[in-house]
Amino acid sequence: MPQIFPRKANALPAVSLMGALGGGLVVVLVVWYFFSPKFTDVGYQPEQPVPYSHALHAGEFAIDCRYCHNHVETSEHANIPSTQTCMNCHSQVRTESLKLLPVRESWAAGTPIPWVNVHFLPDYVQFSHAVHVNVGVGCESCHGRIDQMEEVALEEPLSMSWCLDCHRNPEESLRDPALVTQMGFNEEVRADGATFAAYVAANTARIEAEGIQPPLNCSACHY
Amino acid sequence: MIDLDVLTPSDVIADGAPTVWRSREDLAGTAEYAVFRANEFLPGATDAGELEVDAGPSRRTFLQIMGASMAMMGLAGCRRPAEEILPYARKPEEVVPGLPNFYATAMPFAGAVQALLVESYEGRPTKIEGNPEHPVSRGKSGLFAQASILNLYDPDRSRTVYRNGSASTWNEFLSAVQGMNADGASVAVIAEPSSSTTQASIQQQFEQRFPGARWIELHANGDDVTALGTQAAFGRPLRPHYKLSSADVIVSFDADFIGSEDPNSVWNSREYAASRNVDVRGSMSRLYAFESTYTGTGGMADHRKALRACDIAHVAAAVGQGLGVGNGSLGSSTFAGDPMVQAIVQDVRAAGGNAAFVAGPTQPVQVHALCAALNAQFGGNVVEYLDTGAVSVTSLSQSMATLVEDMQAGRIQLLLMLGANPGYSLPANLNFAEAIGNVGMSVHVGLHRDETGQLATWHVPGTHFLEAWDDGRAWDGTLSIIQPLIAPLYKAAHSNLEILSLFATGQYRGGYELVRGTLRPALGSEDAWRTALHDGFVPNTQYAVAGVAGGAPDLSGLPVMADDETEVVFRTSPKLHDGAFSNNAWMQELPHPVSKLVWDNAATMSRATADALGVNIALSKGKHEADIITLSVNGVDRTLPVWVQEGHPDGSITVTLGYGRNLASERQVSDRNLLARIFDRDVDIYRPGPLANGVGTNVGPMRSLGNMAVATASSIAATGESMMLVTTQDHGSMEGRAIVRMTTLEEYQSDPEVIQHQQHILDNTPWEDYPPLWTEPRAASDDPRIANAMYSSEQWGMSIDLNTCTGCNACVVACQSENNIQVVGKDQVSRGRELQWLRIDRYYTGNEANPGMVVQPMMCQHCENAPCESVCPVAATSHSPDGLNEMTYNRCIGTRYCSNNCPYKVRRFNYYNWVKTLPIEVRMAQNPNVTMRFRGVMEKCTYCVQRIRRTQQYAHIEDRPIRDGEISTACQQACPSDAITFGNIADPESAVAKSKHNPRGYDVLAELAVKPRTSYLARLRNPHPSLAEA
Repeated sequence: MPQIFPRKANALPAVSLMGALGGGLVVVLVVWYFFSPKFTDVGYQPEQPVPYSHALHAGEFAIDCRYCHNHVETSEHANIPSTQTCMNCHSQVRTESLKLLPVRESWAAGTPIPWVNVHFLPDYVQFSHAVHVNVGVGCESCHGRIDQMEEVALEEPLSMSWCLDCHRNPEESLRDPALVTQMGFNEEVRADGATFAAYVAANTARIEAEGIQPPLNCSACHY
Repeated sequence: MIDLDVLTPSDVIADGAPTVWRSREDLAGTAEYAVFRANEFLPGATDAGELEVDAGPSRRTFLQIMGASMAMMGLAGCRRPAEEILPYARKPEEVVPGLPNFYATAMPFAGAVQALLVESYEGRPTKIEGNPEHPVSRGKSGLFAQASILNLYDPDRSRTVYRNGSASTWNEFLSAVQGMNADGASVAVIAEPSSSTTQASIQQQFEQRFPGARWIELHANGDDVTALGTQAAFGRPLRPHYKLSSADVIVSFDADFIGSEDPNSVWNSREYAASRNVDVRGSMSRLYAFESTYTGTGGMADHRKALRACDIAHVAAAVGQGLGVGNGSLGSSTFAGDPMVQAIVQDVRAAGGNAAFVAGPTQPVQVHALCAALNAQFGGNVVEYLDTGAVSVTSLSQSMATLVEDMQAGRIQLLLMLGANPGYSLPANLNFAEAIGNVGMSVHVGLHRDETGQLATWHVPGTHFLEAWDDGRAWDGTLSIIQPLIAPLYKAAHSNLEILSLFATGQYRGGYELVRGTLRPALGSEDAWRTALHDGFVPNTQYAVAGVAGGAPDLSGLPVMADDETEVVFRTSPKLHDGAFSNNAWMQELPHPVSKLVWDNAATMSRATADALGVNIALSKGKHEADIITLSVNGVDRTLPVWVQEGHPDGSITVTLGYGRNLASERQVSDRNLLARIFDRDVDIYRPGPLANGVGTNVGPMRSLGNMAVATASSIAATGESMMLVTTQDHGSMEGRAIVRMTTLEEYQSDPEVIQHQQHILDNTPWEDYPPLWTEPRAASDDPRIANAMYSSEQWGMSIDLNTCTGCNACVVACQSENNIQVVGKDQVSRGRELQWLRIDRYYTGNEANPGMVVQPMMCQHCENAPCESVCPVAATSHSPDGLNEMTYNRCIGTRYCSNNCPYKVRRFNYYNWVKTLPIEVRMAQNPNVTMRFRGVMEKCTYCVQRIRRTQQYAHIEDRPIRDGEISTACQQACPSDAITFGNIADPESAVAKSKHNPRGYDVLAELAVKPRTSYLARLRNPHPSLAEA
């Protein structure tokens, strides 16, 4: 009886096995990379109803973050400022600006400005700004260099593993609570190896002295 | 295979422990009952068969939809939905987004107010608690106060002014009132009972404008028999105020004074619990109860006797006779020689002024008068009579009968109905519905366009007490201001005060102006007004205590009912009250405190009565099929399913008000689209219309004005039909293990360790060899991962005192309100799919004919060796360093293994996406600090972890330790009898740690070595020595 399959068909099982494994690996890597918040979420920069520039206000004018986000130390929400906060200055400054028209309209009508949420957390995550800011987690650690952003974009993935990175190694992220709003602090302490080592050493000492131990259990954030 | 010993109930029930059982089938050990024991999930729980939902689409349509949606997903799936953040334009100073504000206010209920402290997020009230500074409330709230938040967000509340059944406007109503010719008009008002001083002053103006106006207060139970009784005894209506904490003997004549329906239930529960606190007092009060239906008070009683309501009056007379009060012409009474009556007489004589007699709404005026006289003579230290300022009260049978007669004859030009619903509750033979048609102008103000609202010429939407200004007096007279937390949800809504004032003056004035106008001058200064607003009450404004001398009540006219007659007793529902809570989903699904029935009312009767009628309840596959009877009373027929209640008197049928509603709703219920029908085959309890409609039967019209509480059945006939009644009494059965422990006071005092000796022992293992589970004190786990973690210095635990828990259900609704627990509907509950995290297991003890009752709140026990955690394949349930059994919803994939492995059966599974079908109004009632759970997710009691975490965070920020008692769980905070203690068991000084060292303390199913963090204190009974159990 003649052979149905040619000799080279003997390689087929091996090739298809390799192909399946390789293909599987590719699928895993594709999902790993392209489905992660790092790829899907970072860089999200929706258009806001008012072209408010953090680079101008927080960067150039160096207005403290807490002037507008005034509940960041007391509440879980940092507070998106009310129109009134804008009008504190803009009833005097740039009162004719077209860009500020939605703000003046909101002020006149008493209706809210529909800002678009950039830093989005799912409803099953309970995050408190107050507890982080009071222990000395800088604004820029999660929000990036806001002082350099014309329009706010998502800088960090806000994924659970990203949260846990910091909760597991708090010595790499803490600072004096008085300095939480300082921008560029993280770059400064990472300027060279020695500075960073000193920073980590100081933080480690503080963590031990104050018993800072960020919780890692589920119900710390999920309930 | 490892051969494991299987425990059977006989193995684990130790000698001496009382036999407890949940239902007759449980006691008899029938095959039908086995389904509750054998499986975690009831039949029908895990399959969708016979589900009463929209039929799904055909296979062809399904594929079409799938294809279309796949194509659309490709286009739209990449876009992230933009979520908006809407800040204030002008932010109110005191509002901090994310932090709640608390305002003191009060809830009017049954003619008194309950002082409250209400939590509000960004102007949205979400949770109701008692006012901690108020002398009556002291931070506690009852069942109805807890549930009332959902009434505010009832999606079927009326929104529009109606005129003759068609939509109108507030302005039209206003001009109709102002254009009304008031001169010489014959006017009547039917109002819900109110203690408002502002209303009283407007009422005076009203009566000046309409001289001779009739004012009738319509009580849920008909007549205010307590006021009539004290009037008969003392010559004027007085209000009994029971300071039970010092009582030695309490006698209840069909009074459920610790049940939620009592207007002073919060106070009574706490005082009663204090009287039972053997640890503080060293002794306990003794409660005797004569009852015509099983209530929570009967369950707490040391001696309970089931009697027809009409016979209880004669027992009261016999007690009076034994104590020498009342005229003793009771020759026909067979109760004089009753051993319980004799024991009462003996106890009361020994109590030396520390006795209390309480008569319930089913009792005739004479019995109330007798109790008043008895209290004056024997209860001087316990019962105070408060002078409410009322001069006289008249019986409804006089005032209402004449009013309806005059209405019928067209002699009434204006009828104002303020919050009252006479069209629903009044006896049918009065023909109120017809009579109202002959009234010139009838105006109904109410939260719903209900039965009366649909009859009246004008219906004006009423306001919820959280929306309007008013004031009122607590049961003891303390003046409270009712301040709104939110503007009325609907523009047309106006309060009773505003409408009354509009009629009184012809001018519209807002509630704030009216209340301030009355109280600000009375309080003297602006500071005093603001302080009163802040505190929610004005201190030292209690009613004066009236000096009373024993009257000589005339008992000659007590009604007599022949032994072969069957009485029908009408009661307000312990869930829906008089119907005010009918459209409240939490309350509909709340298990009745005794029968555990949900979503229905039934004709409750004893086994013997049911047998005599030839009706029955069949239990099959975990569902109860009840025969339906036609009940004929006062010429009115109603069909009702039968419920057989153990411990119910023979020859008596109990029916409850509040059911069989007919509400008109303006809510738009849109058709569900096909996609929703495929992907969300959810069961929507808010569809198609108001959920109260079609639930149960309205029994109110069967009553007669002469006696709104008790009547004689003229005929009772089985219809031959049956219907499913759903009760949760058997859900979560734990294999018959004796999980409630109890003993008598005498035994406990002679051997405090008696409760510990009731420890279950394993088969063939001598107790000495049984490995100790842990050594006291129960320290935090020694596991270094836990011991070294942050927050591990706090180890949360709970202790529940079964000696004071009355089973009033306040905790169940408080939990539901705090934790966003959804309601699933009757059909789903019958499959064991209810979601309430906290259930109150009711056990009967003793024999079937006259069982005792003990209740046990049961929720997640937060076991240190939690069996649920070891079986979860995705680690969605795990342990926190502070000893909580965590449930992580976003991790759960819905295998339900955890539930299967839970020995306490306290885990709840979301079989459907209940949140998706919530109307927008009901969503506003949800707690923003708790995740809304999705379909396919397990949930359970968290010890209110959101409250723990928040307190921990702020204690951390403020760099201070958490104080004992700083964190309270929702159930604990609501509990009127302080049965629940919660706190840090690692701190030996904490209240909960001390409670766990009480010799009455025990763990449920301790033999499983799961180390539950919730423990219980055993129930003690205090029987009279001469009435030892036969």
